[in-house]
Amino acid sequence: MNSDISIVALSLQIALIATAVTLPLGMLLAWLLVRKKFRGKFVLDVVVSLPLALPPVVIGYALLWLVGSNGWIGQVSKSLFGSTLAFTWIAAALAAAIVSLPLVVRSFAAALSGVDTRLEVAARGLGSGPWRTFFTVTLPLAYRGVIAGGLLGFVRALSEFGATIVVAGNIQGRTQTVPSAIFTRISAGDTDAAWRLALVSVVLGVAALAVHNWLIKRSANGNESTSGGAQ
Amino acid sequence: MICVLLIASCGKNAYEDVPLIFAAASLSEVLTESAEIYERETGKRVEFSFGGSLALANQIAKLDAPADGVVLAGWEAGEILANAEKLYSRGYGHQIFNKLVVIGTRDQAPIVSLDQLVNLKGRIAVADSSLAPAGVFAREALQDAEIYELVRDRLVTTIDVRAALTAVESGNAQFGLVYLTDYFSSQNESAHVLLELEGGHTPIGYGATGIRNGKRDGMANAFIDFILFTPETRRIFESAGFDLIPVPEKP
Repeated sequence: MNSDISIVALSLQIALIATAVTLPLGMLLAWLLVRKKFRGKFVLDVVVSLPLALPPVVIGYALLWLVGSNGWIGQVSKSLFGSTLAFTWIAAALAAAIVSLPLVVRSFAAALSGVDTRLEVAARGLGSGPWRTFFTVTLPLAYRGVIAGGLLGFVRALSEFGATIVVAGNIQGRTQTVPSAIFTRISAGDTDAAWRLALVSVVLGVAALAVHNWLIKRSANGNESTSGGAQ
Repeated sequence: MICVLLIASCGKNAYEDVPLIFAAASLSEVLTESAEIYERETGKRVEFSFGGSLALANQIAKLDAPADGVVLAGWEAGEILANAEKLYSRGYGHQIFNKLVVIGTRDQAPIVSLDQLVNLKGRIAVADSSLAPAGVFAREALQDAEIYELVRDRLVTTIDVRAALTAVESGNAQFGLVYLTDYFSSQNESAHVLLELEGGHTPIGYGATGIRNGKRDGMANAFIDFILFTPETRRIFESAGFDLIPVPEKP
């Protein structure tokens, strides 16, 4: 049986890569949804939130079409590397990224909303460009919410099962994540082995949520004092 | 997306020399042990994906799963692969054999024939016949005993044959139709054999062969030949309850 440590390590790897994708993408989407007005904003909001409302297996199935032989990503991959992305760790990372994106976007949107836009306007008025303003004014004020959002996305990516098993299968050493391994062990009647990994999941989940909630609480207090000072 | 593809190219190289074998769930332990011996003797590694044979065959045939070799149960899996042109003309003879048994929880008494199940109360766990041949063999045996329609609503279908065994061991089903080898491999004492089936279904065999993808199937075939004909690995199969084709006579 695949060792616990290698399964956890693979899961962490996949979740980290998924999070690396959702952080910048999530921030971009959150910015658009909070700071900008444009036609179709409502549609964007629905599309971004969709993975929250769909069964994960449906997401996995849709992804399978995209990265398998019939989809454009699959065909690009086939011509470059000789095989599609289905049943690879990349497919697992994509699945994890898609399901965690809505959580990240929502968290980042909340964090951005808590930043006083007058400070951003003031910075721009003093000559700071949009990127510089973002990195030197907005982000430092929102950083706790951003970290909290990233954590939430990471732990969700770590827990993904339905989409992963459809698009990436359950291949030991390549795509067998912690949830997939727990499922296999439960099916095989290996209850001790299943419990060990389940415990790891619980510990990670509790730790992530504890830090997340603490950060959210701190950022709420921080914003109160900021807006108090600006008056 | 470009970054993802770049990372993809790094990942690809790591798998260049390790064949991936898709195998029936019942062979998990014997294949893993045999692979350890293979690595010890030849220095080469093999990776596995275990599951229901039909589910795996469909993954390869319809979803282009990157298998280099298979060891799957029954003829239907082989047909699925042959129709998708995933097999070489070497084809798909059966080389490993298994038996079906009726198991029950400890409080059930042994039975002398399958049709006795009609009179006993309780759920019967079998593998889902669309995912695993074990489910097909079970259905054939029940049909042969002319009780399939009578017990149909008592059947509990599971994702593969191992899960059917677990269902009985955990007491969630009172009876099960599983492979003899699965029963042997279990350390759990909660279930016991009520009847060994000597017929009534297509003989249960596993075909082992490389998959036609032009890459590592040679390595897969080398592994398969090794485990089928090396005395040490043959012993592993036989003590687990499998029968094997005889070693060809040397001239």
